Amino acid sequence: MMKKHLVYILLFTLAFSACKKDTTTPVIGNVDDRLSATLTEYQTQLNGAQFGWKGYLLTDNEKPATFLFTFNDKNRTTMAADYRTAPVESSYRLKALQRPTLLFDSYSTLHLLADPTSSVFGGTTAAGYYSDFEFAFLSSSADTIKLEGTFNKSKLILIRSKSAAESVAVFTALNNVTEAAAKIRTYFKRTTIGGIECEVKWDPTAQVLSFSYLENGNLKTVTSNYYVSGLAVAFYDPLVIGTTTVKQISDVSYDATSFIIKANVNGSPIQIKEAITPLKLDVNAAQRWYNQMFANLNGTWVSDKAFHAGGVDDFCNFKNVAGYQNLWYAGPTVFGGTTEGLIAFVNNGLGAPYVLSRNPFGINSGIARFTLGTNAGTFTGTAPIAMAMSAARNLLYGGETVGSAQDWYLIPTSEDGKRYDMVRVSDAQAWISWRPR
Amino acid sequence: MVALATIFLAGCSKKDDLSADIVGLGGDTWTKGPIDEWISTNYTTPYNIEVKYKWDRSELGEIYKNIVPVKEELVVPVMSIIKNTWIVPYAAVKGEDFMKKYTQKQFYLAGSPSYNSNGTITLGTAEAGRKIVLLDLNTFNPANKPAVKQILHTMHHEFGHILNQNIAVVPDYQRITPADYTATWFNIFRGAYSTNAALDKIMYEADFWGKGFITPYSRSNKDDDFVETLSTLLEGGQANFDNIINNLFVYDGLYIKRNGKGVYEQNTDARAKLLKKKSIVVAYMKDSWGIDLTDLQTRTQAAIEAQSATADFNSLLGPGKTYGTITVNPQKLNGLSTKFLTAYNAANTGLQSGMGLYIDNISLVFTTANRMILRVNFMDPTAALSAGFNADFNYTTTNVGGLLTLTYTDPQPTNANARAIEASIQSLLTYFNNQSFNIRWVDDIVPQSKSIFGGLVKTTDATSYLFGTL
Repeated sequence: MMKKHLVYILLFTLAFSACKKDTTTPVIGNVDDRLSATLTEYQTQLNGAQFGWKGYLLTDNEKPATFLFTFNDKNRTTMAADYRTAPVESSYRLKALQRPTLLFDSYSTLHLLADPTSSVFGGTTAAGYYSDFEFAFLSSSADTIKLEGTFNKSKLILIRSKSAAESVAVFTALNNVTEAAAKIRTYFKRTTIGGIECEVKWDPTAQVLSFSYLENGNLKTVTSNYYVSGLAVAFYDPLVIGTTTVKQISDVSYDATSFIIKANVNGSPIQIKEAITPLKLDVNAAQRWYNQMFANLNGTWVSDKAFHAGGVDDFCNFKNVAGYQNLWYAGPTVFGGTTEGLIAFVNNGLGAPYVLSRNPFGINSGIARFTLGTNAGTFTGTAPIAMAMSAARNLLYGGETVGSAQDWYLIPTSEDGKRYDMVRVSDAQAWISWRPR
Repeated sequence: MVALATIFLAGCSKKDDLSADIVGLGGDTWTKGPIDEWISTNYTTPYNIEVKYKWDRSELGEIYKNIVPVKEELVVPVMSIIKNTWIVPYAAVKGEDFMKKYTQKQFYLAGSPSYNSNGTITLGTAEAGRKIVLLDLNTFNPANKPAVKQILHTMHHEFGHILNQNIAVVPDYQRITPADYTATWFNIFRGAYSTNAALDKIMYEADFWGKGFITPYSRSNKDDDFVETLSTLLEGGQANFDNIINNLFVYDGLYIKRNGKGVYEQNTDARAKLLKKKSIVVAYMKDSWGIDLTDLQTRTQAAIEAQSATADFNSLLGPGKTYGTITVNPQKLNGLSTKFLTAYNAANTGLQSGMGLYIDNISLVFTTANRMILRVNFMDPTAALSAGFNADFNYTTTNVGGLLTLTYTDPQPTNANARAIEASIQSLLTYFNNQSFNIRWVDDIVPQSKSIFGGLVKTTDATSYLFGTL
């Protein structure tokens, strides 16, 4: 009986409360209206740029690309890219998907990076460079629009061009900065940001900058891909150095008399200077490098580009050697006994001339010393291989006579400890990158 | 309880304002351009078909794949070919209203193929007679006939499904090859059978043609079997179908089984099954839809040829060109001229009575300038099956715009086989010597046979000719 009453009471409550009508109207307007208005705003913004938009794309596998876009109000866009500079027209659309989205909805220069057929523009089969052509709006100000690819999460930043001259310069700006970076002669570079001394690593090809600094005695490294807009190097991810947040390095210029790059960070001038020592030497790295050689395939280290020295890539001119593949520093697996030395891999074979180092290998305070033990084969004459190997020998050992010795730093460049850069201690103006075969 | 029920029923009469305009979220329209107008004129207005060429990921079956949009400049060429070789022939036979009523209602076009995890690529999909997705169009080239035919095959296949779903084909069809339908039909591909390429081809073909199926896909199920037969007849043409039938033999390893006089053993079972299927398809089209399949086939083939023309045969034959050899095997061909066969058979009889050998086939080889090699492939009936022996006879040629004049070269090259049989096959050698032929397609003799057969027709006597596979 009690149960039945309870059911009635419940039903009554339900009956009266169930029909509460919602009469509220959203104060800020209908959601769909607002979304539609937002799209219209973006549309107006895009086609309102008289000189177009500079576009900076970073694909999901970190391939950078620079564009110049113009948008009209008839769903047409014209674009040029640093990798294909002739302007080409295609279509675009703004559409409300999960977020307001900019769709490049017919094939264009931009799509080359996303093309899954690798024979079209490279990249990997089925994925290309993991790029996008559907971009959701993340944020926008009058002159800057940040977008994110909805499929591969690549990043696209649009910056309004202020003049015809600025539009013309969009592709040369990057080259200017790349050239400036290349003018610093030393492997090590230093700067001071927010009172903190930083070691700078700059890879202009991949458009990556990293800063390392000491925090409680440990080396801390922050890294970001960057794009170049005018004279500014701007980071896709702002870097935090100590308490300073760096979004971009502006007004980059190179002072040829003092070998210094001058720039501004957050309104304060900075200088990127040459340095001949690492900020903090990993004192065990040289020994680890030596030990790893024996663990590598064929017991060797391999360098594709050989030595950089005096501001010149491939200083020894291995590019003149027909069939050159790479330069090896190899151990007993190659040379037998307990010997090790420098030899070139040409046309799938190893041969003279080559050099053997004196044993045992010297490591002192984390610095490796290479001592010339034996010259094998002909190092004289004008044969490209003789000239290249002669130059490589003279760099590695600091001379051509038996007993010559040269000191080198070994700088690990990968997490797994299988890649190293080797830098000349005396002036840091010669270096070589090693990888396992 | 009654009161409660009343409250329940009466209490919930909400009144929503249903007159408010629905706000479009935007992005589904764009400023129309010439492509949109072309589509409207050629597809949407006449046939109520939507052609989507602007990117819309949601139209793809597999939205997680890296696929790129189609190039705008290819939209009209692709859709124009499809219209001319699919809609127009049907409409010509059956009328515009028929196509308006039955065609699939949406196309979606994309530029790259869809890469599958097993290493294959998808070139197109179709959804239940509603939508056709065509992929990999950025490589489209109207001059690439196989690629054009591939697209048409898809079109005719899917439209075949629509017809079959509206009026089902008689159950007799599925009783022709009931035991050989398989869900794993996709395992039938070149390279799956043998590392020996020749053997692999024989075994591959035996796995569908040899079982009475027109394509590997037709082994999938009875419905796909039916529409594959229909679409192959339309897209491939009659000569293609007949050539498949005429090449069905019983194999012993790499070689066709034969009797002591070199007569091949035919795969009569597969031939009968395929012909039965064809006859049901023809009857179905006639009885269910009032469509003369031969008429439709002729129109479709003519349309394909008009859209993607085949170059003159003479321009394609010769050293370093598309074709170098014409292979003539009377047991695999129908329609060779009586005059040529008389010469061929006389030579064969001569070889059998004179030397106890028989001719298996001949080929005309044009891989050297100013020369035609007549290569007679002959066999010893007492020996085990083999590739036989070749005897090469050289003819010196002049070719003026496809007019070929042949002279038996004197002296002939050193060739022991040729010298051994030369006297026995004089009628064949004489057929060519000091004669003039037109090098040309023989589609007037065997309709729809361009790119399948190339031939030589005597200039002085149009009833004397031969042709062969390329």
